[in-house]
Amino acid sequence: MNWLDVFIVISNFSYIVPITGLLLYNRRIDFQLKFILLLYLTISFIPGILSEIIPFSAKISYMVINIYTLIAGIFVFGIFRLFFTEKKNKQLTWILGLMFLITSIYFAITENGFSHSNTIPYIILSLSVMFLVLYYFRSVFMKLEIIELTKHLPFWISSAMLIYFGSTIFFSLFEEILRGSDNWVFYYTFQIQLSATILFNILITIGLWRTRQTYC
Amino acid sequence: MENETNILLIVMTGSAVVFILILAILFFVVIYRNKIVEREKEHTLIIKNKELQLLRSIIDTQENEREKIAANLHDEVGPLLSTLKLNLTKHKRSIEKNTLEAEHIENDKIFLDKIIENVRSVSHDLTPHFLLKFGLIKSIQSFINQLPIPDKYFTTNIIEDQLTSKQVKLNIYRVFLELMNNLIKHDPPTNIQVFLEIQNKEIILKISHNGQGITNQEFEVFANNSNGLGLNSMQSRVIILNGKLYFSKNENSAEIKLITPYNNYETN
Repeated sequence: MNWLDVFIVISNFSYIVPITGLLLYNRRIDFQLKFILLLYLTISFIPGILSEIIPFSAKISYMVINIYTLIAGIFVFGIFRLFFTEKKNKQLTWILGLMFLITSIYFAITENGFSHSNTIPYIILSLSVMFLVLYYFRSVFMKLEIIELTKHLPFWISSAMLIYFGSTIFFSLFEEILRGSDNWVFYYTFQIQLSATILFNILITIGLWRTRQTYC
Repeated sequence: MENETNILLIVMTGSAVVFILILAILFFVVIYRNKIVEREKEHTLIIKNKELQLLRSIIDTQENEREKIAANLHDEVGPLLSTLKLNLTKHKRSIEKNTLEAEHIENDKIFLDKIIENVRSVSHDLTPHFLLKFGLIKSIQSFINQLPIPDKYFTTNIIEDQLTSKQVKLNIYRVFLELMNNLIKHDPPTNIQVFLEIQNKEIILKISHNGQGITNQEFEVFANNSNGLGLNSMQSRVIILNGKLYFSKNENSAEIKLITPYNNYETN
């Protein structure tokens, strides 16, 4: 087992920390947000665990990734829908979510099901999430209703999403070029993706820890 | 070779994007925090201004009411009592001297004189007529002249016309009276010097004396533990004047200073 394998295991299992935090400690989070976040983290956790147990073929890997993207995407839009209080912002989340769903289904039908690399739905999801995060930050900044931003769970979730999707979208956009590259480039990009996952879970955990005494 | 350069560029740019995103979030938090602090400051300032306005209107209403009561006492009760005294005098003349009734009337007259004196004193306390008629400088001078202190001195570089606001004059005078009353009551000196001057757009009222004196910290403790109306009223007036009180002392002398912006009442 070399250090990269260790890194992969850490990345795959890093979801356990926020999941445990949600289940055991944080009772102050709104039930809907807690439920959707828990589902999202669990769904994100499953593919990594499966890959540790069952060695995937390329075809199965694509299938798992595509199905994961579709389901996780729905939960991501669900999470953002809870962050916004205005009706028009909620509608905007619905529209983006619907766009993502239609595109995913369209590519699944036209690109021989889920067994091939469907990067476009993932790019749409990443762009939508980045847009929603920035839109959320803007609305928070305009209202100035939150006194302590760092004790507000949606801020941490948004930051985690922005860093995660902001870093992985770049490599999805240029997947074709990177796929034909040297070994070191693959390892490098892979490490960045693993780091993004770990950072995502760390940020969510910090958010849960910071909000343990405040309602959100 | 070209492909390798592209890949390197993508990887470098991708890493930079991650780094920039993290920095952007940190930057957002800092900016947001500053904005919140700024808003809190504005909010505090608004509340402070509202409180000041409220305090000012309370004191103004109080002064107006005092003025009305003083005027009623002076113009209505005063003449009635004087008429009563005149009637008693007439009545006394109409009866024989050295009788019991004449003695009673004489006693009533003495009692009535005391009432008239008290009414005049209450009326004067309610509104310092002297201040309204002759101004702040002469009022302070007059007050100092009446003090039972052997060595007393008052100086000023102000001419009365420089002080245009009646409220400022009234508030400075009332603060001065309260300070002097407390001084004479708790720490009677044998020597007192009062300075009233305008320096760098500030009105400075300085009371130097050879009593024990107190420091700012001691005054704060005293003020916090005191329920006296006079002290509370004085502090309210200092706030309205947008001024500050300073207390200091050394081995041989002590000093009290009231510093207030010149003509601040009109501008606020």
